[in-house]
Amino acid sequence: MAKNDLAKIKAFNRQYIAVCNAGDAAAFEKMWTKNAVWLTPDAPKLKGNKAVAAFAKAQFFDPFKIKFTQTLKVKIFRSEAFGQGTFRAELTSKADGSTVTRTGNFIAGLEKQKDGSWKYSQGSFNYDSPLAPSP
Amino acid sequence: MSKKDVAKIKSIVRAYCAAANSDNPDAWQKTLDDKVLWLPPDAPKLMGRKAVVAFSKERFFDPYKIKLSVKLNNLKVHGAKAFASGSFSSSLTPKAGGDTINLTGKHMCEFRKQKDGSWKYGELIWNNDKPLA
Repeated sequence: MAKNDLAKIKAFNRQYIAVCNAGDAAAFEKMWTKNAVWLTPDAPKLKGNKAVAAFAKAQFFDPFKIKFTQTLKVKIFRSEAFGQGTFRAELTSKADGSTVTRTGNFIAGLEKQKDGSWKYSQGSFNYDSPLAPSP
Repeated sequence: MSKKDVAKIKSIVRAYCAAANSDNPDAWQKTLDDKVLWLPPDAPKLMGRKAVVAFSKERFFDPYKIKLSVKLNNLKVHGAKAFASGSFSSSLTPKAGGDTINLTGKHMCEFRKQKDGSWKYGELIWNNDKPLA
């Protein structure tokens, strides 16, 4: 496993966390490949980085202020990497200020780009528990 | 990517479905690596075959008659690991009686090559296309 690639993927993960915390849909779109696939719970498969970013914007970035973190462990195979990790997201409603905390797990694939950077090519996540009903 | 490995991986997926569809958790667990990691929706991650089998018996094998079909797309083999995503459809008919639950969804998985050259599920995450009614 190239140390340089591992360092770049770690940096990519830090950037991904920062982008999620900033709720920056345009930057989020750039972190996925053009043909990326995102398999989110209870929703049809999303194809392409534009669809992925539109979903993230509608489901997370627009309605919530986000405090997000995730771990990512990868295995690198030349220009591809596969990994899994855990995440924690504190989602505070912009409408009423209420906060829900969700934790979960994911599996992801990454592809090395021509410029040597890495992007998500596929990903899927699940929450650790169902969303508690509102009181 | 060896055609032989691809054929073996596809055959383990067929065995996984066949065992589920014949209500045979003993055969089903043989398609899982000892250290399998399973990430089911709305549940904590499960590590190891015993934990996965216990969960699956409680959630699927014991309460339901299962009809499962799995499609693999985008299968990539890298040495002793292989990665794929795909889709599935399943029907869960309560053994105690009641309406069948029909589900469609998608998955990502890692397969691990065993010492004998066979392949088994090493990691699996899946989720449904829509919330349960």
